[in-house]
Amino acid sequence: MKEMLDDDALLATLGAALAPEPSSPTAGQMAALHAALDARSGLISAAAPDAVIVPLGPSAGATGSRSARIHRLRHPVAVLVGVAVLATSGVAAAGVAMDTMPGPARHVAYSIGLPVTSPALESARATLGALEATLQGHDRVAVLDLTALLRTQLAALSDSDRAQIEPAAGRLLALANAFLEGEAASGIPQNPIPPVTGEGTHADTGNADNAGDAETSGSSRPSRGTDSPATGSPESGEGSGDASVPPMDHGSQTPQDDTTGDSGTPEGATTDSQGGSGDPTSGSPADSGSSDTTDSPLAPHELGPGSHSG
Amino acid sequence: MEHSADHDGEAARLLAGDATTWEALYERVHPAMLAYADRRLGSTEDARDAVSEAMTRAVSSVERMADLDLVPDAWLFGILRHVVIDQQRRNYRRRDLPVHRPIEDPEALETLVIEGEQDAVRLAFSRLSDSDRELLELRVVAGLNSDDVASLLGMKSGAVRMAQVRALNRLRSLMVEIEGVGS
Repeated sequence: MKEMLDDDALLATLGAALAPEPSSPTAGQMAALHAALDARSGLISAAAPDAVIVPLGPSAGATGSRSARIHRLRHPVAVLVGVAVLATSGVAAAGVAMDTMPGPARHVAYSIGLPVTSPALESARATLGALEATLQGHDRVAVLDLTALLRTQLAALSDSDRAQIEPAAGRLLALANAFLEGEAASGIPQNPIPPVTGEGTHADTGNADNAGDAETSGSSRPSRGTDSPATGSPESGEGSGDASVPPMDHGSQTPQDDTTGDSGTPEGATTDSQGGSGDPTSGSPADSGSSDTTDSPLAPHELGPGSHSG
Repeated sequence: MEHSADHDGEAARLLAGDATTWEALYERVHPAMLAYADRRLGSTEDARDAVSEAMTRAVSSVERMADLDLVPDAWLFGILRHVVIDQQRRNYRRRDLPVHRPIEDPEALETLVIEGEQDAVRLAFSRLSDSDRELLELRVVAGLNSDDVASLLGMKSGAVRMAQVRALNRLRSLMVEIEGVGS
């Protein structure tokens, strides 16, 4: 090269030097092209008539106009993803705002610090509702189970959570106790499970757990009876006056009453005279917290009939 | 960007999914695309795969061509460029293929017999930087104008023209060096 080539000539020379060899797409490459065309035509026919399909291909530059960007937003997949994200986050936000979430979601939301009711409180509320329904249905066994369950749940609640549910729980537990005592006193079909009110049972068995059980603990232990802030509270009074609970028949002496009498604890009288106040005392979260935590709670039905030795 | 009526008509047919137009485009650009990919990937097999992948992507994203206001050839090379870059990354991770295969070994110039001007140009071209090679390849192999190359490389047209001038100057210097060795 004796003389310098100018740019155009050099470009031409370079083009000739780098000229690609003749080649054609292979059959496989053509087949791939047709498959892509078929897929695209299928996508177009499946899309809405006014939907412009703009797949998110590789960016070959950053010169897209505003209308082009808007066009790209109309890509069906992008739109679907956007809608899904909005819907999901919207539902989640609504769930958090209204505090209506399924259990697993609530657990997750609560654990990451979202302002939702704690799962434990929600469970206790559910038990409360179930207990209320059971009381109306006069299902003694279920009442026993749910009462025990509710106390356990109350004991496990944090102070703030317990404060939220305490009034309602105390009232309902009072009703439950009144109902159970009424059932026991009426002499109607007795469940083989001894009543929760069987103070004598607790004493006889010497079971500390049962001694700490809700209804009777307030009267069986003077200290608790005096400590009980709910004794004689208006709440308790309301509870005992609830029409949904069968009135207690203290005149009828049932074996349970005898047992109670044997134990030397004027439980029934005390409870009655206080308008059922003894129950809410023990049923109150504070109380169940003290009794159940110190006396690992046993469900009342865990006491066998044989435990009554009196 | 000004395009000819032929290009606009072709773009419209491509957009409509006309198989004949797509086949014709494929036939026309295949040699240049294969050469571009082969030089960058160092493997004819990988280059074929890259070209095929680029065409498949092109079909599925043909609307973007109109959005970007590119002629079909430039748009295809833009896609191929991204496919090649992706493949180069994979090759680099695997380390079983060279990222770039030079046309000739620049260290062995003394042993080469420069038979003609094109040999000197190829050798000089192989010693350019990656960016210079890519720019010149898009201009002379793909046959794109400065505006199209600017769109592909994300540069301004003026910057592309300046970069081209500098690349050609370097190429010229290298050719003088090579012809001096070979003579």
